[in-house]
Amino acid sequence: MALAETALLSQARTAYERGRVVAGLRSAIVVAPMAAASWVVCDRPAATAAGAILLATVVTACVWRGGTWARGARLGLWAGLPPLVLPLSALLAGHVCGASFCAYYPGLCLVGGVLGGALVTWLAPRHAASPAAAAAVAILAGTLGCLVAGVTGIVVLVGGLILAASPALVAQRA
Amino acid sequence: MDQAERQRLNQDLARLADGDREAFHPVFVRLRPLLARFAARHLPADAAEDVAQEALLRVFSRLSEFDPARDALSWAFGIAAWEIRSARQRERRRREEPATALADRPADGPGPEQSAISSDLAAAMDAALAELEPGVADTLWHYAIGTRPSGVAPAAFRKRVERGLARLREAWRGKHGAR
Repeated sequence: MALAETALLSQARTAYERGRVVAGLRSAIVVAPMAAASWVVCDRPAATAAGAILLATVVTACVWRGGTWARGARLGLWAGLPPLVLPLSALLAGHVCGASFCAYYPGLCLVGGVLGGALVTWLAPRHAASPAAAAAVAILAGTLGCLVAGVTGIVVLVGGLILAASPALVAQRA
Repeated sequence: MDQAERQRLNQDLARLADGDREAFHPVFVRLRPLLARFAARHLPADAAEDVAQEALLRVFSRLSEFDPARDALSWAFGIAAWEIRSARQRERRRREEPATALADRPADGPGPEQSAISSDLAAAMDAALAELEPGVADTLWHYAIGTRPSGVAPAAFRKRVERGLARLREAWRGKHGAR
């Protein structure tokens, strides 16, 4: 049964938006291995699950929105790899903190955050991506790794990443 | 459709694929009549409008997958060709004889065993075709009915058919071995 023109227009709009949500969910699939690594290594299931759900939601929303936001989210997933991988690798390698205050893991989160922020600053203008979306996604992805360093690790990750990404963030505002 | 119009469609589709909602209406207005005419060329009038609408909805639902390096019109027609093929399959299945009619089959016609084999082969071929990309299946479909898509040179069409048949053979071997 053929549809009236207005009904067809409305259904086409719905089909388009649904397709974009599906594309967003497809992009967010990469969060699953990140969350699995964090789950296994950090042994903080509740925090990992909450972080992963938040990250997947932000990625899906950005890709659904499209344009610079979508490109920013995809870039953020790459930029989030250093702060995700560095602390997890160190823990897997068997590093154990002996002192009452251990600066090793927060230090790795800082280095990972700075590397991630530098990637955002370098790549966001080249790919016409939103640095804000990229930084937000990178922070959330990095948080999954920096859970090993607790709140201190996450705070220094956020600080390092924003500091290193600030040239791109400032340029976006200007 | 002239070259400038086609170029505009390419640009609008690329913008919409990137998430620019302002390109939605121009794409809808341009694609709607094109898909309707395309379906009308390949299907009876009563089915063409429904299939054109289904194809249009399918195009919009898959727009996020559109690669701006490709030609927008060919991409949309590839999806429409797939819908047309599905509609024909549905129609063919609807018209298939019911099992009770086997008893009335004339003695010189194909026997029940031969009919079952033919039906199995047709189903297997449909399954193999369904694994191909819409563009490849469309080329083979044109080849099967002895036509050539407009705007495709004979030599290019021949090459596409060769590639398509090779892909179909691969899909067939993947499912049924080297038989």
